[in-house]
Amino acid sequence: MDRKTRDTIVSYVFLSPFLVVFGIFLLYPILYSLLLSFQKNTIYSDFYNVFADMKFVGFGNYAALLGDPEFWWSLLLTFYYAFLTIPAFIALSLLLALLLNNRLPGRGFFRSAFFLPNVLDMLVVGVIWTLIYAPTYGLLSVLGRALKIDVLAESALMSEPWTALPAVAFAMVLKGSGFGMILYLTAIQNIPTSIYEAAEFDGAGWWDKLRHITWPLVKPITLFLIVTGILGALNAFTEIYAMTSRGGPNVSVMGNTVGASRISGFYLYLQFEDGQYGYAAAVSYVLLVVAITVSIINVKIFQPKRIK
Amino acid sequence: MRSWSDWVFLILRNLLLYVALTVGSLVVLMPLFWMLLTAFKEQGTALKNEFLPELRRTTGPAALAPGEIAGAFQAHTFFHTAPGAERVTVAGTFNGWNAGAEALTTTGGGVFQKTLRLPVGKHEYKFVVDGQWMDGPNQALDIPPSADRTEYEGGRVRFVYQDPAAIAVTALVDDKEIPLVKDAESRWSAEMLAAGGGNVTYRFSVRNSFWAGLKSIYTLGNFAAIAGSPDFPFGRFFINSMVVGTVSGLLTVILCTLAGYVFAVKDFLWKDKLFYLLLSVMMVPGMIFFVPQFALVNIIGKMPLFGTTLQEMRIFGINTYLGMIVPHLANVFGIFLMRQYIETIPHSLFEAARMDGANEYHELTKIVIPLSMPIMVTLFLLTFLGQWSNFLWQLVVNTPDSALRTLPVGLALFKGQYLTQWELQMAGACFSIVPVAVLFVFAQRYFIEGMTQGAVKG
Repeated sequence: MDRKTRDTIVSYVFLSPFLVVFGIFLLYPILYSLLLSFQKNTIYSDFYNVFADMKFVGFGNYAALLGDPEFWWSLLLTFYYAFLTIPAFIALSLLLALLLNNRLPGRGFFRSAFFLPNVLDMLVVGVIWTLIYAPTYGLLSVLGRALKIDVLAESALMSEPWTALPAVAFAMVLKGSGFGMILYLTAIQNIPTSIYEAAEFDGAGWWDKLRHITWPLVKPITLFLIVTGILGALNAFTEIYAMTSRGGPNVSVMGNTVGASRISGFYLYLQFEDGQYGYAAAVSYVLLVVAITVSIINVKIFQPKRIK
Repeated sequence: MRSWSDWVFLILRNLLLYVALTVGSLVVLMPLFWMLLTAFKEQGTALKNEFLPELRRTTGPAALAPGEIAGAFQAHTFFHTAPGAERVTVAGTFNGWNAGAEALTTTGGGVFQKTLRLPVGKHEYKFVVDGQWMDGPNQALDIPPSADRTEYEGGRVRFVYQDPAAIAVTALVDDKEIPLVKDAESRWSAEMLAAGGGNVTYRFSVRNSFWAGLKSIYTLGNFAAIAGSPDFPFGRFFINSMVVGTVSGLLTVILCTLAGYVFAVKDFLWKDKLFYLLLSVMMVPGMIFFVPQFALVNIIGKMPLFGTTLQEMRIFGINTYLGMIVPHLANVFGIFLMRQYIETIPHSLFEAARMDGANEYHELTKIVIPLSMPIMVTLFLLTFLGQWSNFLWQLVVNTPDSALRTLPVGLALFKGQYLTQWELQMAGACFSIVPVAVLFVFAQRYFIEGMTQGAVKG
């Protein structure tokens, strides 16, 4: 037996526990889901009798999906959610990183404080925020009364269509920004000080340095945050589950009743909950295609600038 | 050399930085502070939003006619949540169980409230929603004897005020201040001659002790109440989360170390193809496969096995620990992390070991595992955290009454039933948040490195 054959056998022995779990619980469900997206259940199947009596319908689910205004609305909302979170997330992360980039005693403490919310359970943090946003008794409302800001005092953020999703976004930006901060901080600290010194020698102020040195040099991080932000928005489910009542409040858009915070991840969950497994599988594959497309577009937009 | 103006500038700048950082961290951590404070509140008081005790307060003016002895009353606010209800009333021993007597007013969002002045002592009551008495036993209410109390004795007026938190009490009668004196039972009292035996209008001005005031707002009772609650045993949820997180973490580290080792060190057939397959599956969002995954767990659990099934033996399937753990063990990111790290071990080490006749098992136990401890700890912590916060899967794989519900699932279900019991909800939240926060403080290096690894390398 030659070395390569022996190594192959040994390697697959070592890999086997992982590959068994991977094959059964990841690869097979993914492929099965693809098959499912071409099927439709003929009778109502409950959670314990999933996939009973599936009928092949070809691209029927996909056709139905593309004609479903609720799906398009959820996709639109997803991009709106991404638009609400990503710029704020990047701005806050970069701001915190710039503040912490100063040699101050005790900055390790602040670094930990900003990062801490990242490791906490999304659902639990979401529940806390719903209580903070609650009308009349919520902290926000109480603060509004104390500071005589009527808008805050009378706010009911989670039950107003215009404010529900931004309120979720605000909470999630505060929760997540420590992550971006660490990435930016690492990137900024990797920039050689000689570049800044040369710029200072040419009379550059802090804004010039930020605009023309720091920002271009941390662009890979920004790209990463944009891509993961969009993927995060496409996958967002737990925060919507925790903070809204089933993606509500309901609004009427062009004759259709839709949820003002029912973004695609939650729309998908509702289809599953409804027992529409074939349709839901089709939705998830369309969302996967959207995610891949968005990632590629982002990389294409940002890449040339990085080389230049 | 720096001139003094440079120093002033530097100090001002740093001061400003500290202010900005402090305000920023307070805003970011505000939900946690609020959660902690609310979790320690006396039951039923969270909606009052009282965080600090009142240090000084003046009671409203009260009148006392000659010959009258005022009973002791205290205000109590009833809250009830009934979304969609038209009319909510409260009936109890204090109003002769009259269902129509005291209507609560709505404040929006299905929350009703009403403040009543009740005599000191024990009461029982129930809410009546749209004419329907609520199910369950009568609710008990104990009004403590701490209300302002005034007694009239002959020609003199006696002021009595009972409040263990008070450190000074004064009665105000027509701009006169009469200091009250405390007796052994912490009752404050003073006497005065009523002017001409006529009516007396008085107020009490009370100074409270800060600590006693804090004690009257906060309690440890909520944690005990929900840790052993029959429907929502958060103590059990905590243990479940610990078991799922720890076992997942350990198994993931074992599987990923084995796999990461061969990907880093070995050369084998289809190595690159397999690695790209794994990486591309890593990109697939979990929503795509979770229903077939659930079906598989259910089917495997119900497969016949020696006349019984794994589900019946409570080994695998719905409402089992392994059903919650195993499907998430194939952590591709973990392999990626381990491979990345093991590749930095000098190859000469492995070659030298092989010269001495070491096989793969020796390489793994003598070289790889000792040298990759930090990354194994990181992977363990990240997996633990991931499973601790995993909501959707644990929600689906547990029935709503399962004994194995984890903390997020428990809290989500709890929130649905106890809408206005904020202090209990937040005590439940503490069970999830506080251990992770403590873990983070002690192991933040591992968390931060692990979580940023993918970004920096990718």
